[in-house]
Amino acid sequence: MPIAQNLYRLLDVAETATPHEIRQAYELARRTYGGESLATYSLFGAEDRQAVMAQIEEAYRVLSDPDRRRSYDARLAASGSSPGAPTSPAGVPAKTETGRPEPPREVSLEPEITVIPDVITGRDLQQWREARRMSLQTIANLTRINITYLQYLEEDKHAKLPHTVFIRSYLLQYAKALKLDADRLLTSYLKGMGSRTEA
Amino acid sequence: MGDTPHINGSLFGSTMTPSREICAIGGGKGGTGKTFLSAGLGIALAKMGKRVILVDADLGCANLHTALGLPYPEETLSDFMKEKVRRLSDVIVETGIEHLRLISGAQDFLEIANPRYKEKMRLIRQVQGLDVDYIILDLGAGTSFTILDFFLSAANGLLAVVPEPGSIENVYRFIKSAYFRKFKKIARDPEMRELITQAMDRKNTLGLRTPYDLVAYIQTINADLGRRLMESLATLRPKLVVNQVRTKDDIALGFSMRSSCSKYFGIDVEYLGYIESDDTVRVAARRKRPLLLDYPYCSAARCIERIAQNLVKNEQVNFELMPKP
Repeated sequence: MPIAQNLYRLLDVAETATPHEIRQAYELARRTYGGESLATYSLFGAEDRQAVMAQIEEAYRVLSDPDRRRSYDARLAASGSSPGAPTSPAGVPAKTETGRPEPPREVSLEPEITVIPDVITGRDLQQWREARRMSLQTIANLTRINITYLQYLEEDKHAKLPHTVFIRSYLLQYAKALKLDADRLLTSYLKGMGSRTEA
Repeated sequence: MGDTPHINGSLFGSTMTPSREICAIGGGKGGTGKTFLSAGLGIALAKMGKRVILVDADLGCANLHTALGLPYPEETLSDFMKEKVRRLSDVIVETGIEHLRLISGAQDFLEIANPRYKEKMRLIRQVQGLDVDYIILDLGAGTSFTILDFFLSAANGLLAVVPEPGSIENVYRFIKSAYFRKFKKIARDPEMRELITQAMDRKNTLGLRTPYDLVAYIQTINADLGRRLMESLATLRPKLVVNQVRTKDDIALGFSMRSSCSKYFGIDVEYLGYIESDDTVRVAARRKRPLLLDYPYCSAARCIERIAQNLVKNEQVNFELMPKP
């Protein structure tokens, strides 16, 4: 769902929320989307609820952990103040801020800021996705884009994709699901597409 | 002119002009407590010293006067609609409650329930011109254009819901109708129409499932139109009142509905308050007496007073009230 970019918004809490408020919001979300509830049955199907719940679990995973939350806040601040800049000193991984090393699993789950080169291909998308240990199905659930189209994007099968207008929309959503700089990813991918078409 | 309007707006606008707040109370389904809430809120605000006018905008089925313990007044909205009187203020009647006056609704003839656009706009304009602190519009059941337009003309749109599937569905339907009424006003733009048609044709392949998906998608392909649409929809901020709550789960329903609307429509719904289920309400209704006058200390009356305070202070239900799992 497009609204999912901001984890705080996803959990319906303010960015200043206390850990207790975050916990409460998470419990409310589980009560609301975890199964069929009075508030949701007429708006969301089971599949929709699962997709929302997957996003909420991810939001809670990040926001309930002080280190991950700090790192996320830093990235949020960086993206808010300078949307064009993919990296920022504030985005330095949380492990250096806390002074204690985190297990490698954590690092790969919560990847550091990705620098997006000028020209990229579907292979780059796949690598970034895999670094986040996200399956294509997860991206499909998050973005609600047909999984086949996502596969075509990663395999650079552009001829099989719909019109460029839709590719743009897919890429923006893909980038948001991976929490990458959407505008930059779009520009770089389209450049990659252009150069190969001309070749 | 230069910066003058801005300076006026920011420095003096809020303090020098009288703040006239219009609250419309709707909710789709009948029997969810719209009239009860209107009367209660009117009395609670008047008790706080606010000058209030209640307007029975349930055209054709008016009975707000009964909720205030009054007989059907001689002057009503019908006189204004039929242009027997020129100004809306000519049909205001006293209620016997300090600071609270009433514009009673029309009961007499059928056409009034579906006024022509011009008549409707004349009414809305004059409502907006009334000189008071609060104007409360008691809307009828349903989602007719008349009801939606009254609802959208008010800065505060309140929706009364009871914790039952039918009522919840109707509140969502009401929000959806108001949402698309706003949506269509912007979507008259031919360019926008084209985009919407394109998107709807490919609804499934694009993965558009909710109204918000559609708006977000439009934003990605036409930033300017998308922004205009978002700005228009951002002004739709309905305030929920959950009536007849019996359990903490019923209270939590307001939070869940707020969250669902944010994810489905992408709009901000506020959880203004809830009213505890209370037998005193029925006792007062049978006696045709206002609850807040005759039973001011019962739990339902106190809940309504809290709602009035939230409205004045622009606050919502405290999250701490969430039940423990």
